[in-house]
Amino acid sequence: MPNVVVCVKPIPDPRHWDRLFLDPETGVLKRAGIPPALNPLDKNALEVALQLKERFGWEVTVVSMAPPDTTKALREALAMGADRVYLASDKALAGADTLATAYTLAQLIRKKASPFHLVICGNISLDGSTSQVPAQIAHYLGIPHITHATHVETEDGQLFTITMNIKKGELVFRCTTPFLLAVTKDVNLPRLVNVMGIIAAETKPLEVIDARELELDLDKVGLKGSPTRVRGLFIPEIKRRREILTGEPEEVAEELLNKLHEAGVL
Amino acid sequence: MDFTIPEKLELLRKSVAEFAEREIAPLVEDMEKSGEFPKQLIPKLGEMGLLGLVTSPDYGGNGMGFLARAIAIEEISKVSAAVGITLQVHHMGCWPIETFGTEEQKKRYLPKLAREAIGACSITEPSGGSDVFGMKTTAKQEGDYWVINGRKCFATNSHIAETFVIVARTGEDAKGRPAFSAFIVEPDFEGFSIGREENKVGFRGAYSGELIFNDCKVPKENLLGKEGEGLKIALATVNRVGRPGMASISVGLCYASLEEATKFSKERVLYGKPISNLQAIQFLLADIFSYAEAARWLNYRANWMMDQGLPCDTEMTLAKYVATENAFLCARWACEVHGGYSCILEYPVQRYLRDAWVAIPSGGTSQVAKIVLARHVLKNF
Repeated sequence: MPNVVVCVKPIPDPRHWDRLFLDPETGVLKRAGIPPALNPLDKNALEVALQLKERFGWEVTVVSMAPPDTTKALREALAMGADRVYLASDKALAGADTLATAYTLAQLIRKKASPFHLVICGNISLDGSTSQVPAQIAHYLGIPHITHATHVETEDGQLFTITMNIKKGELVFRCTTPFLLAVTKDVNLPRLVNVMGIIAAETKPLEVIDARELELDLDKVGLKGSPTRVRGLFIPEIKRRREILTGEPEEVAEELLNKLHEAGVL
Repeated sequence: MDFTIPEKLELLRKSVAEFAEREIAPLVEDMEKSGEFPKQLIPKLGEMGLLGLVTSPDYGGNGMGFLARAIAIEEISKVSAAVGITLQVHHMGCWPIETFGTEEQKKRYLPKLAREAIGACSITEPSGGSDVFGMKTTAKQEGDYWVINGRKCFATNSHIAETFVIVARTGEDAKGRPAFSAFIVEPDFEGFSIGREENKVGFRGAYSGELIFNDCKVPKENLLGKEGEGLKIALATVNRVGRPGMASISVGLCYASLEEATKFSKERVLYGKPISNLQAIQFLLADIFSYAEAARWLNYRANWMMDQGLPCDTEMTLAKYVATENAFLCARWACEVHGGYSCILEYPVQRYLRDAWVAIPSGGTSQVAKIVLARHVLKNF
């Protein structure tokens, strides 16, 4: 049966972000006590997959890379209607940047969710906000990718028409499967989880897989496999400065221009 | 002893909260103004599985149970206590049919009630509610029918229910006391009509009206339980479904008060600082939190006992008494945190206060609850 893969990321529940804070001494983001939740745009991705399941009878496989205590959030994907979840979880994967994450997820898809028709991601995660992982997964899987999708259409489940909003209009792509699709929140309104879904989710498979089983190259995963180095995290200090320039209008304009150049604004 | 909320119930809480925010919150203002229940919500409650929470899968429900029901009603009532009471009285219309009904009655009524129709259970009359012997509505057997005459009042879901469980006087017992029987009544039965709709101070949008029986012909197969069991059925339904339902609504109101009061106190600046910095305000927040938690856990214990099949009538009454009283106090304290803003309709704390006020006498006044509790104390301590 054709398989559609949805990549999801458990993040600190955005409803409790007022409890997040950055330790000014260590630069570490403190998230203690904030429960995990599915990244909101990943629910849009899952909704696209579930609608394809309803139309074409495909199976929906959810993949994720996260600590093992996030299974509660992943169970929500099963309650929405996904058929199974594979979670890559291992201490060796900790500290991964987008490239190491994409490598791990691509390997998970190859090992557990192939062959696939389509891979669908949320376009961006609310916590990391890099938007890099979807394209990087496509790279590792060797398939084309379309990101920033606002509309998805297909007649036969083979040829897809994807719309992407750009600044002054729309880009429309036509693409045959397999490919990777990254969607924005405009693509749909994700369904609510109902009681029957919660009960059904209890018996659906949620498998946690370690690095060894995935046969990962340990030089490419976790902190070790991440070329990105975080030099520091800080809350930007925003200050208003006021300076009054006096003189003839031409002189003041010239001086203002110089100051803006000096400040690197222009 | 394990107080951990099961993972599936935490997911239920989150899902129902999202449902309430998406589907109910936009309707609240209109419900407050019009007093009308938004009928378009009924199929959505069915699709969410909320209508079938206490109905077993054998009859089209999901049977998730009473603790699940408590959590679901709590989350809905944080957004709208009116929808909360509509749902809770609907369950009062389902449970006695499954518990006391014949196989034929269960198959006929429960699948529809679990998915798309609203039910109700009505006992109170102008001459008696908590005074059950004051009920004057009569039912007499005539051939293949029971002929019912009388009037019920304050019947929740009066104008939207498709099935009513009602109780009427059918004779006398061996000791000469009035005997009552329960019946399942459909709105289109001959001689049945809906009367006036009460214009309430709270629960606006939930119907409370009159049911009028004027030589109402109820087929004899719609007798629920055995003849003479009406009081047992009524009391069991009120104790085990109605009271925890009111407790759950009230817990929702407690937490709605807590959230609104806390949010307001962090935003409202007086003397150059948020008023949450003032101990006078902090003490109010601490009180609301304490009373909300106490109400919640009494209610969860009672509903957990119900799910385990343990005797829990006293615990249900205790939860209902404490939760409804606490909801009123929490709402009042939330109003105090808001100061003058609590008098303005766009701030919801005034609604919580009005809803909590109506919750107290629903399912029996606090004084009636205290009689039940005192009886338990004198017998067991």
